[in-house]
Amino acid sequence: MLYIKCPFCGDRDETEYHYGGEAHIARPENPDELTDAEWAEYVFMRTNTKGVHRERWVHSDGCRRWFNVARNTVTNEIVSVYKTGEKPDLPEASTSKPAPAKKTSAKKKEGA
Amino acid sequence: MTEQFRTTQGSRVDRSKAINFTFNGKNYKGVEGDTLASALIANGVHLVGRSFKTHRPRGILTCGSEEPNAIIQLETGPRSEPNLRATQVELYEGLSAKSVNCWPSVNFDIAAVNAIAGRIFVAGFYYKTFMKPSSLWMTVWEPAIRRMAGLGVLPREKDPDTYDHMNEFCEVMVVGSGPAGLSAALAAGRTGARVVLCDEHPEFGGTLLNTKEIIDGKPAQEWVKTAVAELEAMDNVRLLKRANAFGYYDHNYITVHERRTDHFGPGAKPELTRQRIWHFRSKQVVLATGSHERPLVFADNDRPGTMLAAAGQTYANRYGALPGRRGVVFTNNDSAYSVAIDLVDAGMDIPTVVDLREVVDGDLPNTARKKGIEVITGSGIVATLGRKRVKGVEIATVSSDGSQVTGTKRKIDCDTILSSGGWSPAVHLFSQSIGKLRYDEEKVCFVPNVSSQNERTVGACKGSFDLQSALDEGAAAGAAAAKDTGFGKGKAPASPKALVVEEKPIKAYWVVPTDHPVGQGKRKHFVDFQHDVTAADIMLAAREGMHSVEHMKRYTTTGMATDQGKLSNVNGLAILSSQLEKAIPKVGTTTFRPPYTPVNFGALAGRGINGDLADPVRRTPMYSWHLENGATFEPVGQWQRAWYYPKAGEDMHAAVTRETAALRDGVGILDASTLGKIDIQGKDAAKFLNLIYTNAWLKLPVGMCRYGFMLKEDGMVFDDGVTSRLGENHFHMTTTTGGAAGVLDWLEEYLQTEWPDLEVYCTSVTEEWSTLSIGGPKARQLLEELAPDMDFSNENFPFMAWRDGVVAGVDARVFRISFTGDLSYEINVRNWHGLHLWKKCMELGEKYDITPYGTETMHVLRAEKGFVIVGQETDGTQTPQDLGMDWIVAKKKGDFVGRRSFIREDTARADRKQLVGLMTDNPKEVLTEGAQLTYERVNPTPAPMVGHVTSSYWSPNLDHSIAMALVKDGHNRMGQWIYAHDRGKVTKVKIVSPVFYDPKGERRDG
Amino acid sequence: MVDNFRNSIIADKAQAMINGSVSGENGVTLTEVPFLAQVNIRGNADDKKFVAGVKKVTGLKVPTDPNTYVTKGDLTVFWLGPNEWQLVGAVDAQADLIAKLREALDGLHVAIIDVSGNRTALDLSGAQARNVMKKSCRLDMDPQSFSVGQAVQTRVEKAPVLLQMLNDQPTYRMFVRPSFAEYLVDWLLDAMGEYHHSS
Repeated sequence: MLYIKCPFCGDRDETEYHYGGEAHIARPENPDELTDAEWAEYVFMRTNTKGVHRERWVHSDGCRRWFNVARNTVTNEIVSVYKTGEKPDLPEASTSKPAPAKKTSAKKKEGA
Repeated sequence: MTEQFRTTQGSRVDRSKAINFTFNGKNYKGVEGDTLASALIANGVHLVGRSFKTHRPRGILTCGSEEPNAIIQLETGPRSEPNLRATQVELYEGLSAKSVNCWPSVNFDIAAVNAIAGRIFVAGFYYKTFMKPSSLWMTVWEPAIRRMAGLGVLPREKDPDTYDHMNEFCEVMVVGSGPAGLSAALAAGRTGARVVLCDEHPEFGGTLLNTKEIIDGKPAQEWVKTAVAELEAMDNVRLLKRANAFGYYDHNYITVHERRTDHFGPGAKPELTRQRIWHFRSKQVVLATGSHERPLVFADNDRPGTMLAAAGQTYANRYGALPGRRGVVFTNNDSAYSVAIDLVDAGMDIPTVVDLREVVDGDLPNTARKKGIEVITGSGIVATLGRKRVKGVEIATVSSDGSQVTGTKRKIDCDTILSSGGWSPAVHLFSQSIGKLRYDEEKVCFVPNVSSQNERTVGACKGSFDLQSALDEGAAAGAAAAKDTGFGKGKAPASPKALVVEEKPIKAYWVVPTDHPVGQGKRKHFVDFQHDVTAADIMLAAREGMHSVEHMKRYTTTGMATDQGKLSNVNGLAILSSQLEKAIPKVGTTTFRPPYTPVNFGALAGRGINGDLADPVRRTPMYSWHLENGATFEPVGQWQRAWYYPKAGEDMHAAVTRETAALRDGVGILDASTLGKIDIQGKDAAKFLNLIYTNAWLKLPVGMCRYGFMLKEDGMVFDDGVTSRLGENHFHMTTTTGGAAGVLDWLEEYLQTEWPDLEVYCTSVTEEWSTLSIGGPKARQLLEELAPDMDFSNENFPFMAWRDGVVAGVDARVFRISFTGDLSYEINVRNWHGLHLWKKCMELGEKYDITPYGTETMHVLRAEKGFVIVGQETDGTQTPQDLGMDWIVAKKKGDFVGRRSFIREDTARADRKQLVGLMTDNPKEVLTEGAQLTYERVNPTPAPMVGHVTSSYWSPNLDHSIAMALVKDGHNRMGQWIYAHDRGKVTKVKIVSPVFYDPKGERRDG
Repeated sequence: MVDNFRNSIIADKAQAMINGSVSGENGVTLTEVPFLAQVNIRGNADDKKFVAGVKKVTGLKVPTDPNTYVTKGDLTVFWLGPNEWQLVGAVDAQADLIAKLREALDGLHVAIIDVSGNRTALDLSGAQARNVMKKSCRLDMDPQSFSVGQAVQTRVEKAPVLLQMLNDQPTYRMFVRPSFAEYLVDWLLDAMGEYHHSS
């Protein structure tokens, strides 16, 4: 059972949270301009990282805020916890597999 | 019987306090302080069980939780407990136990013929033998194997005991209370940090209670006493004995199983919970879990009377019980010499120590020699004599590489063999914490290498086997761990001085040879005693291609018994490694998983053991009325919803028929309080709804409601509900009962991560309101009586409108929406007014014969109208178009969640599975929900499945069964006949519109 | 005005709570505190007008420290999240509070929602209350971690609650959704059972 530090409420058991999948995948602003492949990249494709993985969690039983967790998927070590809209550099981030290089043509928002 | 093997002085038992107990039907006496195992040994009883496969006689091998042989069933009746280790069961007056793995008795075991046919029980035997024919598995093989190899019997009665769980937080958790653990707890405790010390034994002190070591010039037990007294005096220290730390999980989450009352005897302390699971979150952990002695693997090394050397020492020193009269010690290391010395001092005859090493010149061996013990070097036990008890051994010189016997055999009479193959650090918890191990060639064992969590290992658990190191490492780790949590300066307190006798190196020696090559002849070299795995089995597995340690483990079942291979893992691995001619570190280790020792289901269940507290049962404010009026209930998630209200003599069919008729002809009342409700407000609220619903919301007038679909980005329906505009910037959303929490999280995710600029607040108000639905042609008349000040005319309160007012004397919000197709109102009042309103409705509705109805009738009525239920008609792979609801998708409003996916090739396919109605040829036949559908009656196999039945009911209003289904290309196949399959039965069905009743919607205005 | 139409969802548990409570110095008691006024407030704590508006009505500055509450007279304001608070007051006070708050905060991006029915309150009190909480809640209940002035949204066993450390007796006040109330009462009474024997 993970012990996650909500950036607002502090340390709580995993049971208070829900998992929200990989973080920093911004919704394209103009979906109509995307090809099927580009849209599928946004909707379906994830990195499946071995190592430090940035992911979204929501503190459902607490403050109901969404936030980000950088977690090592091998050891479950939590390297960093940060608020939505932030994206700190991580010392161990180099161990994670980079996201696919292919980018959509649509403009993406920063750090959502 | 007298305790003929009880010594007369020394030890920690109280000889003046006799305890009567029964084992395998015979009466014995033990004394206070005994375990069942020590009491049996004091009575000369070694034969305690039969082996798992070949039913060979087995004796007590160890003195702790690693015991593989002395597995017993304790007591009978509802408190009976199977598979306990006699080495851990504390003796109490009247204790009654029996061996688990023998039938009809331990002395005469019918299945021992297996031993004669033993050659067939080789590695992979089960895979090779019982699999074919598969039809015999459940009927013949499985029950037979169960009886022969049965591991005790679970009581059939309800467990009369209570169990509980406790959550605790601390700065430093110390597991194990030997010299290292006590030192660590003292050092950490003195800093003021919250410290927990737990130990699986009934006394603190670990191995110091078993040996004759000297600390600060005095017997070590005196230091233990002082240390425990100091710890007990500290308010910041929690001491838990009889408490087994069985799981080390992520983020220093450690679970401990405490046996609180078992040692008093069953039911002796009803005021206490019998056992407790402690859930600790500790900032720092110190593992001082000690080590396990390994048995040597020699010919017929399982005869009762064969024991691990240190266990024999413990029985003599701690319990005053001699393992036998005359024993031979067999070793590859120096530690066994202290055993020989102590046993001689305790009064046992130890004529010989057989040592596999060529040169033996350490201090301990020399002390042994001075006591007159013969030390035979470069030799091994190559055969044992006796069946139900060791009668003697044959020893001979053996080659240094273990390949063969090199000398002539010499026979020594004895009733006990004390074997030591070296020590394996108890790295189980360390390994569970994902710590990485390293193989230490010199110490011949795996030791902790890299920690993965905030944890330190100390003492024997770290491979530091000498007492001074344990004391020093414990003190240093305790102080450092406390400092890391902000307590103390990290300086280790001076540790006491132990009298250390230097030990010479151990010699790795994995299989001791005998007359024949291993695996030939009748002699067996046991590696895993509990699962009857021999060295030959592992060698065969290697020859058959099981080169991975994980494959070997599963193929031979080494380490897979309830002892989890505490004694066998390293030996098994080493044998595999020599077969493969690969170094041990290259072969790798298997993974240790929780629990460290078996834990009662009762303890794991805790207060939920009787089921009623296991999970919340959520109730609406009207629940008590439903209960008093005979409702049956249906669980919907955690909610209990009224299902139907049978009158006397009615079955479900009759009740639902009556309830549906009332709704179509009179008036019915439903408790709909479980619907999710979300308050949405802010200047961008309408814009937000436009983004998360498929239809258009900007122009919805205040005072009106609208039905909406939410999709995930893949275009698939995820939730639905009616949302009402309360004000220009204020909406009241409803969700499905099960979807409420998920929808709120999902709305917040979009608001917080994608559109943080939108000024919208979402707040759950699900339980602020209780909701009653009043439906049927007479609903308006009833409402007019309930709320005389409100106007319920069609003109002023049209369909899909809401109005505030006073209903039955309390503030209410009334929505004119319908899930039945008939005139219907949903009345929302404060949660605490729900019961009052319901009762008032029943009172005023009596003259209309108002009929309470439950979820079943609701389902029938909505199915007659073809209304979908998200989660029943959908499974996350249906678009609105698939459901025939293209009308709910706005074409011009622009982007919304999921919209882009509609034009994906797969989503846009014309022949997707689509929602249709089904009519059976025989009107009385009700299809089975979930039945698979095919286009043709007879199909090639595998048959092409084209869909399934999602909902199916008897419709009293139509006097015909009705069903809804998802059918591939269904919308283009209206009027066609297809086939529904249910376990061999084939039913011809016609594809029709899913709207079976009142297709023009003429009834909704009453 | 007395509201005769009001029923607590756990009214039928009142006797069980009396029977299940353990009196004496080493005891623990469980009681319901029903029908408290509760108002959910959403707004921006960085906006001086918002803070001033709430203070004008309640006399209290909305707390911005996580897991805290502030009290004045009958009124308590709980921090629920960075833009969410809960105002709790005496029975039937909600209508007046809501009207005044809406007036004081008019024109701001706020939400003032009556949630008086959304949760009822249970008080667990006495020397053994902390142990009962330790059996039920996966938060650090020791005084150095959870003390008077603190309140958290968490779970007590499997029921979501707003948990307030009310006083040093200690008394824990749990605001729980009505649908979970019976389960929570049953759970707590069961956990309290052990202390009938020790007092």
